[in-house]
This record gives sequence, C-alpha cells and structure tokens, in this order.
Amino acid sequence: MLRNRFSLNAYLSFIIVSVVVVVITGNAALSFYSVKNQIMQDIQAHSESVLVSLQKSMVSYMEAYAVNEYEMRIQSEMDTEDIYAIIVHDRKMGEILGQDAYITGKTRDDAWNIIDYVPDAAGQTDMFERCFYAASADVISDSGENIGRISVCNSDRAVNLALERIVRENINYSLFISLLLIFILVFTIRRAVLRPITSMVNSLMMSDGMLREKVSPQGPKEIAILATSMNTMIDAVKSREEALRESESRFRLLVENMPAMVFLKDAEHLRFELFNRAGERLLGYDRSELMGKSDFDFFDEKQANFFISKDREVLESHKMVEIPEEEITTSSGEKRLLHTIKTGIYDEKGKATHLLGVSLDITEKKEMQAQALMLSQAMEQSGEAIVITDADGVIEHVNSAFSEITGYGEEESIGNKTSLLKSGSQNPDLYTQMWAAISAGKTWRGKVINRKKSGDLYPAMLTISPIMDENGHIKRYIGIQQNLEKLEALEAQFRQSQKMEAIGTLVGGIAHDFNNTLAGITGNIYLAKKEAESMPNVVDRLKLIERLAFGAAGTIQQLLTFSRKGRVNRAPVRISSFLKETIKLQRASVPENIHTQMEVTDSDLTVRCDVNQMQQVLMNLINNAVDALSGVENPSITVQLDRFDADSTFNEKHGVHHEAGYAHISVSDNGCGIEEEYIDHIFEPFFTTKAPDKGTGLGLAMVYGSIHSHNGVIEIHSSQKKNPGTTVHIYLPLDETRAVTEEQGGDEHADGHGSETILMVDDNELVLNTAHKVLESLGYQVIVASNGNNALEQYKEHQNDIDLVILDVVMPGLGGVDTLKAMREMNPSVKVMFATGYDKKSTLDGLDDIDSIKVISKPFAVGPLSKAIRKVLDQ
Amino acid sequence: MGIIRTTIFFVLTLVLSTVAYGEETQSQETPKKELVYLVSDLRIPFWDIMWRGVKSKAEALGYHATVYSAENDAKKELEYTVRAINNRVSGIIVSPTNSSACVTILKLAKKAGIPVVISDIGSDSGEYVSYISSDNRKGAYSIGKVLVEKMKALDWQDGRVGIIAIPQKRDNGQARTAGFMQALTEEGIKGGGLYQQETFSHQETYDYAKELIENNPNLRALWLQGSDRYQAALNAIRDMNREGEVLLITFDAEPVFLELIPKGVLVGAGMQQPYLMGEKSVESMHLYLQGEAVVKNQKLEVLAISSKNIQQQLPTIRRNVLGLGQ
Repeated sequence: MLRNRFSLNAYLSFIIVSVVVVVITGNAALSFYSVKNQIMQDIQAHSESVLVSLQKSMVSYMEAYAVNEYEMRIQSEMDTEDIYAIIVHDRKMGEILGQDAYITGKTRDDAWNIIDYVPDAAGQTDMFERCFYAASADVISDSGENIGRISVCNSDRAVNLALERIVRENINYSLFISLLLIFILVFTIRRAVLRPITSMVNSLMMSDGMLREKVSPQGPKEIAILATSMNTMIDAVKSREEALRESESRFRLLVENMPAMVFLKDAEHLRFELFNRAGERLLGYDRSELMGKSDFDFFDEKQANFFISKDREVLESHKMVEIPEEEITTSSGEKRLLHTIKTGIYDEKGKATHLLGVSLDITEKKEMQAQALMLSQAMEQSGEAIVITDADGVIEHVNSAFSEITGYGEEESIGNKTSLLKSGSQNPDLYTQMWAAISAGKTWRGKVINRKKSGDLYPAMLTISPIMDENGHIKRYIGIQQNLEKLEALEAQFRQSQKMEAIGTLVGGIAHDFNNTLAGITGNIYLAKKEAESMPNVVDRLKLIERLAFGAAGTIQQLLTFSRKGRVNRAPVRISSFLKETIKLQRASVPENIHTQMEVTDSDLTVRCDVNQMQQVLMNLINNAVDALSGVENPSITVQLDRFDADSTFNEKHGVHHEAGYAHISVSDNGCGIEEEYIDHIFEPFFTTKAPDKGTGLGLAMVYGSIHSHNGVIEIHSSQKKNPGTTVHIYLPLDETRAVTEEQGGDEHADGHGSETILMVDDNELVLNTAHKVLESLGYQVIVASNGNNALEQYKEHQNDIDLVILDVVMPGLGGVDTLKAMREMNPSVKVMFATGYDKKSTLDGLDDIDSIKVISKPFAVGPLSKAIRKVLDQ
Repeated sequence: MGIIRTTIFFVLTLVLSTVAYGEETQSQETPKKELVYLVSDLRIPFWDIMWRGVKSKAEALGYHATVYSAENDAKKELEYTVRAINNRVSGIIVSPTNSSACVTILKLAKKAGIPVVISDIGSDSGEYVSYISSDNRKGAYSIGKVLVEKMKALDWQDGRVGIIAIPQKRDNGQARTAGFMQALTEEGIKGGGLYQQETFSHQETYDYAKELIENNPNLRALWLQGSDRYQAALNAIRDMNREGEVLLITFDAEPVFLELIPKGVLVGAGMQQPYLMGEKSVESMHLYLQGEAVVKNQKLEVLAISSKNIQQQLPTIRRNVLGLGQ
C-alpha cells in the first residue's frame, strides 16, 4: 500500500520544481518583454549611433575618394552588428562617374550573408520599406557641402534573432536559476528537514517498520525534538522488545521443553507453523517435515478429518475446546492417545489468525489407569482378602473379599489395626516371627486362624509383603489371606471323591471276578442240567442254584453300576415324560398316606441316558424317601424338574463343565432327615441306616455310580433340625440333539444253534472252558485261546475255518480291542463279538465301529448268547 | 543544263558576296586595341622603368598603350579609371596608389567588363586577370645571404644587423623582412632592431640609422628595404664614425649602385626588375585577350647583386632593373 505513495522527497521536489519553474518562467516572460523593448530601443539607439559614426567617418573617406575604405568600414559595421543594410550615396564619387551619386553599400541575403548592395537588383529596391527601423543622414563636408548620404536599416529579423537569443538566454538563465534554486532549496530542505526525516524513515525502513536504530537529533529544532522523542520512544520500544524477546525466549523455552506436544496452525489453511520437541518425539517426524503441512499429510483421512473438524469448531466457536481422548497414528504406525486442548488466536478485529493446540500423550497414563483399574478390579474381584496397612499395621484399604470373609465393612476396617482379626487361638510366637520377617523387608507366609466379626473362626493362608519407597524404607504392608474354609471343604469333598473312586475300583474288580466266576458257574449249571435231565430233583436244585447265581449277578451288576463299569446303554430321553411314567409306575408301591407330587418347570428337557438305570435311580430314591417318611405326619414326596445352568462355582466344586446346562431333578421328602455324621458315607456301598432286612446298602451307591456314569452330579441335602427332610439333587447334562430313541431289548429266551467254527478268547480259564463246552453243546466248532497273542496265532492258522471270534475285552498283554485290530489286518471282514464284565463304553474305546459290534455281558445266559451268536453269524 | 549552271553561279556569287560584306563590316566595327597603364606616380624611376617595359611590350604586340599617372592622388586615379572605362579600352594595367584603392578600380572595371592586370602593388580584393610582382621573400633571403657571407668573411658573425623597413603592414614589407631574417637566422646572426619608414624622407632614414647604431654597439650592418635613401644611411654611419665597421645593404637599386657596389660602399642590393614586370603585365593581358590561360600570380626574381656578381648580371640589371636597354 505504501508503494503507491510518493515520498516526502518527491512531494517537496515537485513543489520546489513547480514553484521555481512558475516563478522563473514568469520572471523570464517579464524579462523577455522588458528586454525586448530594451532591445528595440537599443537597436534604434545603436542604428543612430552607427549612422552618426559612419556619417563622421564618411566625410574623410568621401573627400579622399577612399571608396574601398568606406566600403570596408561598412563591411566592418555589418560584420559586427545586426544591421540589415547600410547604403551610401557618394556624390563626390558620383561626380567622377557623371552621376548624381555613387550608390554603394552592403546588405544581407536570405542566409544573412553580407552581400554588395545593388540598387537595381531585384528584392533590394523596396528594402527600406521592409526595414524594421531605418535611419538616414546626410554626409556634410567640413566646408558644409552635402557630399553624400548614408542610410542604416534594421530588419525585424535582427530583432527576432535578438529576441530568440534573449529567449535562449532567458531559458538558459531560467534553467540555470531554476536548477540553482532547486538545488539550493532541495539541498537546504534536504539537509535541514528531509535528511533528518529520511534518516528516521531509513531507520524505519531498515527495521521492517519498527524503530530500532537511534536517529541523530539533527536539523531544525522541531525535527531535533521529534528525533529526540523518537529516540526516547526507540529506547522504550527496545526495552519493551527486549522484555518481549526475553518473554518470547522464555515462552519458546517453555514451549520447547514442555512434555506436552504444542503446535500452532494458521487459521486459514490449518497448516503447521510451530512444533515443539515433544511434538517431534510424539509423532516421530522432524520439525522440518511438519512445517507448512496439514494433518492430511501425516494422518489417515479419518483422523485428519477429525482433527480438522475440531480445529474449525474451535475457530468458529471462539471457545477453547477440550478433547479428552483422541487417537493419532505416529510415523511408525503406532497408535497413541492424546488429551488435547485447542484454542483460537484472534486479531484485534476478532478474526482468527492461528489455532493453538496442546496435546498430552496419555497413552501410558491410560494404560496405567487401565492397569490400575484392572488391578483394582482384580483386587476387588479377588476371592482372597487383601488388606493394606501403614507401617504400624493400621488398615488403610481392604477389598470386598476381605469384607465378605471377615464380615467387617470397609469403614469398620480402615483405621483399625489388623489385630482385630486375632482369634486368640494362635500361638503368639507366630506373630513374633511374622513381624520379625516383614520388618526386615521379607515376605511372610503362613497359615493362621482368624476370627470373623461374627466370632466364627476361619483358617486362612496369609501372605504379608512390605511395600517400600524409593529409599528402601517400609511405608506399607499388603496382606493377602486366602480363606481356606472352602478349600478345606473341597479337599474333604476331593478326599470323599477319591475314596468313592477307590471303592468303585475295588468293587468293580471284585464284581468282574465275580462275574467270571458266575459265568463259569452258570455255564456248568447249564451243562449239569443237560446231563441230569433224567434226575428231576437234581435239575430243580440246579435251577435253584442257577437263580441264586443270576441273583448274585444282579447284585454284581449294581456294584458295577456304582463303580461305573457296568453296561450302560444311553439314548436321548425326554426327561419330563420319563419322570411322569416312572412315578406313575412307582405310585403303586408308595403308601397312600404319602402325598406324592411332581413339579415340572421345563418339560422340554432331553438327556442322553440309560432308561433302565434311570428308572432304578428314581425308584431307589423314592423308596428311600418312603422309608424316611415312616412315622412322619403329612408325609410328602416331591419330584421337581427344572433347567439348571451351572456357574463356575458349581463347575469348580464338582469338577465338571457342561455348557448346554443340566436337567435338574430333585427328590425331596419331609422325613426324619439324615444324621450329619452319615452324610459323607451315604453313597458308600453296603452303608445303610435302615434295618438289616430293609436295605442292602447298595441303593444310593448304585444311584451315585449311575449318575456319575451319565457325567452327572448328585448332591444330598438333609437336615434333622427345623423343617427336617432330605432332598437329593440330580444334575444330568442336557442333550442338544433331542433325538429321542428307545433301545429295544433282545429276546433273551430265543435259542440259536449252528455248526460254524468259533474262536473263543478269554484269559479266565474257567470262563474259557465253560464257554467252550456251552458252544459245542450248541453245535459249534470251538477253537480256544487264553490271551490276545494266542488268539492271533490261532486265527492266523485257522483263518479260513473260523467264522466268528468271541473276544474277552480285558486281558493281560494284548487286550481284546488290539487283538481285533491285528486280526482285521489279516482279514478286514472278520466277524467278532465282545464279552465283557464291564461297561461297554469304558472298555471298548478305540474302535470306530463300536456301535456295530455286538457286546455281551458276563455272566451270559445261554439263550441270549446263542441268539447273539446266531445273529452275528447270519449278518 | 544552262539554267542549272546559271543558277549555281548566281547562288555562289550571292554567298561569296555576303561573306565578303560581313568581313568588311566586322573589320570596320572592331574596337581599337588600346591598353591603359594606370600608375600611382610616374615621377618615381621604378614606375617609369616599368611603364617603359609596358609600352615596349604593348607596342611589340600591336597595342596602343597610354599611361595615366595619378601622382599619388586618389581622385585622379579614379578619374583616369573612369576615363579608361568610358574609352572602352581593351585592358587596364594598374600599379595603384595603394592596394585599397585598387579594389575600387577593379570594381569599376569589372562593372564595365574591362580586364585588369595588376603590377607590383597588389589589391586588397577584387577580380583581376593576373598579378605580377617581385618575389620579395626570396629576393630578401638572397640578399640576406650576400650580407651573411660578407660578415662571415669579416668574422663578424657575432655582430648584429639593423633594419630600416618599409611599412610592415604591406605584404611586400612583411615578405622582405621574413626572407632576410631567415638568411640571418640560418647563420646565427641576430637582428639589431627594426624601424618602419613612414615618410620615406632622407631625415627619417638618417635618424633611424643613427639610432640603430647608437643602440647597438655591436651593430655590424644596416639593411634598407628601399634604395632611394641609401645616402642618408651612409651619412649616419659616417657621422657615427662607424665607417668600415658598419656595412650597408639595400633592397632595390639605383643606377649609381653600379658604381657603389663594386667599390664596396654597398655590400649589395636586391634588385627588382620593373622593366621585366611591365613586359610580363602586357604579355599576360595579351594572353587573356587572346583567350588563353594566364597564370594568376606571377612572382619575378629579385636579383641579389653583390660585388661578386654585378659584372656578370650587368646586362640584366641595365635592361630589366634600370630600363636602360642592352
């Protein structure tokens, strides 16, 4: 804008030049006219003077007939003066020539050259009429004789030339005077006024419009005062600038060393103009890379758009905007979280010039907060009681588990010493050892007995660790106590489970041996009955023995069920229908005074189970309930069915995990209840609280084994106190397939005979011999093998003759399953049956086609055996 | 055929008669071949000798020559000029009273269409046929050499030479001085002073000679740029008792010099040839009138006569310088 303005120099120069030119021109014009008049007068005067002079000299010349002399004199006058013509009439010379007068003279041609005057020449006759000024005078001799006449003529050309000369001189003079005046005026004004002002202006120009260099107080008084004032102002400005520089330096130092990222953007394009070191470190860019760039140059479009929108919001709202959390991506691709405050910078008109932002990297803080929150939550959610004390043992913080375990709330705990948990049943030496250890900066761990707010004692595993400051001084203690109540209960339950497992193993082994023995017995009874057909009494006795043997086999089967080695045939069963049917059948055996009711909450629950076993389970429980209701007023039995979704506590407690949930069946009575001391033994085989003739002690054992065989859970809650009664809870895993099928039982009494060759394999010699004889009695050719390897040898030898292989499952060395695999290598289509004293599932794992293989249980009745053999051979 | 012959004869007779009549008429109207010699003063021997040369040559070339002596009177000179013009003479040979007056003569003659030859005295300006003059510079140089040889012979090279000159505003005066001084300078002889004659009187010459001798004790020679006042110079030498010590040499000559130079009274003289100049003037006019080219400026030799060559040059001196004939 200042470029379009003229300088003071230009203004003054213009004024001076204008004034001087006008004045000098006016003066020159006046001078011109004045001089013109003067010239005209001078010309007239000079012409007259020349005329007079010539008049005098002509006398002698004419009298001496010195024509050439006076012509030279005229020439001389013409040479030196601007005379147009001088004409002489010489009467004396005229006398010689016989004329009135000899006329001669000089005049000028158009080029103003002097030429001879020729009287009759063209253009010269009327010369005097065109003269600007003409004068003539007679030449009179000393004797008074008129001897001639002389005439002088001036043309206007001479005047014009003179005026032109004057004009030129005036112009030159004016020009000279003008230049001189201009020079003097300019010089004087420049020296006196402009130079000091220019000096000031130059100081301004050299310092970008800011006064920096002092101005010499020269020139007139007023300018000197102005310069002095400016110097004072400069001092003040410098002082302020110095202060400002120091302030700016401090500000820059502060900004540069701020741990937070500080940046400045121009308001129009939102491009970075300032960045501090923290910003470089945070973004991973050099400052030079950032300057003049926008967010779009460094961040992805989403982030950049967010930043820019926030920037615009700040600038338009004229308010400071705080962004508690925003994510950026650094040059290395790392994501960082920032807490940013943005504000606009505005000029005096309120127009935004810049946007200032301060961003604090809160990534670690957020992580620490998250970690602290996690720790806090972990601490709060921890099942272990955590207490933090000061160095003197005064409680500063407790978690919720502490309150749950001890019964002391947070407000009750804080401020008290940890001794409020002392039970008094602890050896005092333990506390002495504990304080000695933790005061020495060590961690102490030990089992203690503490007292709850309720006064109950509870065992706990206590770990105390000192918390030290940076100087190694103990500032606090943290104590973590694990409530051992549940652990000990679980340990007891585990021990009970282990005991039951051991009993089951024991019972299973005994039952297996018994089954082998009974298989031999029943086989021989079958042979004996055939041999003693002629002796009816003997046959009757043998039949009685046979019934007793199969009765024993039934008992063995219950034992196998308890030990979960019994044969289980599971199929999907809708449990509500099953319960209704079973209770309906059982109702006949329940006295009429007992109120039996069934409550089904969810009728669509399906479990995969062995229906026979489940019927036996339910019947045993109802029978036990009926027995417990003897002598009880208003006896009642309630069977409930609902869906149960197990939680972690349940799973942890019972060591199970079944995500599909459970069918929860409970059988409750309001009977006398079970004494507490019997509860842990209630599922043991042959343990009974009934009279000797009323119970075998195998009912609940069978229930226990059956439920566990179905991967279920059984619990029993009983009380003999207020509202006595017993409730047995059964949890069976729900089956998602919901394909409900019923297993059809075989025709146990159908006989089968044949002549094929059967390889009989069993490690029990009694079973092997009996089976050999029974099969032969059925018409089959029998080859026997006492173990797996022997069986393979026999099969290899008689492979083409053997039509069926009956394999014992459990054998020393090569078991039944492995023997079959080896045989299938020789003959993939070998026909086979398994004979086992255990549960099919638990013993035949490892075969893909287990469901297609016929399995018979020992001891086997001859009828079912013969039918099964025949069925396999006929396939 | 007879008619044809008669016609041819008649025509030829007519033509021949016409030609003959024309020649006769022309010869009857041809102007008289007359030359006028305008001279400033015929009483002066130099101009008289020149007039004799003019007259002799004019007559030799068939001209009638008339002399008008103005006797140094400007009016007379103009009146004679006008008379000659009015007489329609063939040409004017002029030796004017001065070079300025010659300008008017030339102007009047030009206006009348009469050619003018100037002899000896020049003109300040104007148009003329030819200017016949002496080579004053060369002549002065030659006579200067004569003096230098004399002084060297006398072993007077250290002596000075005084000059009594004609007015130096005249061209011939300037030329004479320059030529003479050149001869002295070449031999290292210095001048002893210069006086310009104004009155050309005996007394003036005597006084100047005396002053020069008085002012220059080492003065060994005087040079007169004229010849007629030689006696005044000799008298001054004699009166200053410097006879035999101060030599005298002149420009121009007098008849008596034929005796004085051999006697050693005068060392020598630069002698113009006025008779020859008069002849040359007429020759030039004649050539002009004949329509032939004429040399505009003709400088005639000035004879440097000393005792050594006077006898040898005597015939030339007698005819061309003194106009005495052979």
